[in-house]
Amino acid sequence: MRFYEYESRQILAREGIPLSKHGFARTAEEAKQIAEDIGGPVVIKSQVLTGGRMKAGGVKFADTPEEAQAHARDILQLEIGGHMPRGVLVDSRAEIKQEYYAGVVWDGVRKVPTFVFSDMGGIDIEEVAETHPEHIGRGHFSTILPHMDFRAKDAVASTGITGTELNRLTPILAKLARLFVKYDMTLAEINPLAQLADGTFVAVDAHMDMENEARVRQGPLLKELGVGDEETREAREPTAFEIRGEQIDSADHRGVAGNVTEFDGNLGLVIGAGGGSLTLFDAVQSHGGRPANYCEIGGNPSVSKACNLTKLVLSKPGVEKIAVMMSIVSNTRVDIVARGVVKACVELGHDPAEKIAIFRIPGAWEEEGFKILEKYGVEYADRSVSMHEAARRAVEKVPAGDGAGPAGSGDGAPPGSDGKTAAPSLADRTSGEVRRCRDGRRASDRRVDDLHRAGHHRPRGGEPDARVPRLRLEDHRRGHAGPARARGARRAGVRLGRPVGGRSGAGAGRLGGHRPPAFTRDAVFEAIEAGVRLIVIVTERIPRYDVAQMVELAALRGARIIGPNCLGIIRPGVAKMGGIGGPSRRGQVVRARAHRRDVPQRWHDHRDLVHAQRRRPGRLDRGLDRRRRHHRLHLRGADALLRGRRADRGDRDLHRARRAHGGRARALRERERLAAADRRLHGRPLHGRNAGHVLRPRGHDRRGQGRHRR
Amino acid sequence: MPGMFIDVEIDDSVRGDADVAKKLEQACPVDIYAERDGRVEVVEENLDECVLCELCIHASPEGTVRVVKLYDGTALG
Ligand code: SF4
Repeated sequence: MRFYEYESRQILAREGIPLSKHGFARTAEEAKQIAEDIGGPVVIKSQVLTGGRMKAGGVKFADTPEEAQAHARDILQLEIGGHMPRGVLVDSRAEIKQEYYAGVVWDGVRKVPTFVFSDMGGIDIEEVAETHPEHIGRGHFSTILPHMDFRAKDAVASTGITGTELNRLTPILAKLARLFVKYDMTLAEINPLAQLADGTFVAVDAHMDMENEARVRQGPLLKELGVGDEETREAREPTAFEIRGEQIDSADHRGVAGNVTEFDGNLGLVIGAGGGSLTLFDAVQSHGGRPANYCEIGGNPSVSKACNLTKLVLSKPGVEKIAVMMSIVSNTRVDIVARGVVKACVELGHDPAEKIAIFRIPGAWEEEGFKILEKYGVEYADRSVSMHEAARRAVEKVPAGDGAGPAGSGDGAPPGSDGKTAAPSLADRTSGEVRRCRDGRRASDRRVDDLHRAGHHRPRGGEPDARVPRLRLEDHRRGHAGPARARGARRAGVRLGRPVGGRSGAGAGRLGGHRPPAFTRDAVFEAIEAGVRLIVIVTERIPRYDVAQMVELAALRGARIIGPNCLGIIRPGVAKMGGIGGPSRRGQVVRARAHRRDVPQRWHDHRDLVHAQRRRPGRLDRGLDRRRRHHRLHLRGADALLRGRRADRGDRDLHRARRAHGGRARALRERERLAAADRRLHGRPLHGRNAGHVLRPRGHDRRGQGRHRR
Repeated sequence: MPGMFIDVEIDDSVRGDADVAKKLEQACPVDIYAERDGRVEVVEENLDECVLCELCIHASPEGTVRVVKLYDGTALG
């Protein structure tokens, strides 16, 4: 979510970054008053969430308060990029000696934040990076180690700045980095960071974007800034339909059934699963269909959630039928979704066989789901029917329209949506006249971006559900870990469960768990510290900062993270972790509410496996073999990760040599320590069993270990 | 409102058993059972949420709880 400039400045002020004299005004009179208070020439800036303000006439200069008032009046009426200004910022027009750029962003490859500094401020930093790369200083910093200002200093100094300027700029960049992590920003930039005639530095313009996923925990800041829960701060305001979809999703923590984006077609979509929504949406369009909406369903939503979403889609004016489709194979239970959509049709008084154009969800419990669909006469397809084919069948069943909106609407706007929040019609989206995004591109060009954003950057809203059960981790190494580890885990609200892998130990040190996004980091930290070496995180919508911290700690401790936002991993027939569907003999490790339904099945499978093993002789031997094999595989995986290849004998010898050297070095250090102590006390080093005896408690041998008789 | 897809049948012999009621309440992941005044109560609005996990069947004395799938007429337990 994006902040207005005046809000960004408030955030900077909170962290003690110097700012030019300014004030925010909602009326022309307020602007005049602020200009009087500032005294002297001022700049009036429109407060909109879009770029290109200067070009659009949203930034004007005034020498007197009266002029400021007149400009403010004009700017407050001026729409820029489809946005009306929230107010104006009245900023003092100081004499600037030089402009700099200071920013902090995420390095998506390294998964750590990075400073970006330039002595060429006031212009687009991308442009500087292209034309004058030598004027850009960069530097990563850690998300888990204490903040070190010298890294900021390095970044500034790398542009050739020295002396007083370096000393003045460093704390500004360091503070910017601190606020970046403190407030879960995805972008924090000051451009320009101006050096005034007296040599001091002030922020003249600032731009901040906050991670949507962090909205809940940044509640106090947002409250202080007056940002309401309903404000999405996106390219366009959500429609009533979309807001309702959001409410449905956040009302129940189980699974996902929301992320709705409104379109003006006649085929309602209840689609989802691992990127399937976008593919299916495109498939419908490629067959000439007119989707009435985009949405996402997956992760095992409850029946009521699926039902409410379906009801929402069905009740959208103009929707003639719905298509219920999911990705290639899904772990979402087919029968649960089938119950939800059928129930929605029946409760709205429709015949499910009529209203559901196609039901294609291959996945868990599909036989059970198909029984329900058969009973209600709904056409369904299994995985042998491709997504494209399913989309084609659905489109065929819906009468072709004129493409200008649902039947009867005439103007292309969806009936039922109020004028302010109506979704842009297809005609509007493609005409290039009505809706343009804040970057100036046509809304239609940005549709897919919007969809992605809808899928991944919508705030969930609402308070965390207190009923969410605590995570129970299945740590296969518990036997080695001992009670201390379990105690540590419990302190963090994590419980180590009984090994599901039996005594064979296969899967040792691996962990899977399902945890709401807000608590995933703590669970993963605890797991890493408990010695778990492979962690699969299926949770989505974890704030980026948390992810960076997890990844960094894992790298420090030699653990490996797969995910977040992944389906899990599987070695078919052997083991699986996470929510991925497929055959495995052990490894489902979840007791979170939304996933409970999969656990009993795994439990039963495992019980069968144990029974089968009991009947076979030599199972312990096999278990040991398996354990060795798994260990080898694990090492091989780690090698591949670290070296990009399997370790060879040379690597292993080197490793052994290093260990041996480490041991010798420790012994030498110990000897020196004892000799130094003897020299201090006796004036000379002692030899043999007397060496360093004063350092040892009575009755301990020279290594200080255990008692021995003298 | 009774379930559209699922129904549960509880034997009269355990309906008034507080222990069984508590166990059922704890076992069911979708809160279909509630313990009220030492009796088992079925939360009807949650019936369709049943995930057919059979935990309730294992948590109660054999043959006292049945989960009926109304869409095909079969039952668990
Ligand atoms: S089968 Fe599972 S979900 Fe259904 S009622 Fe029994 S415990 Fe609840």
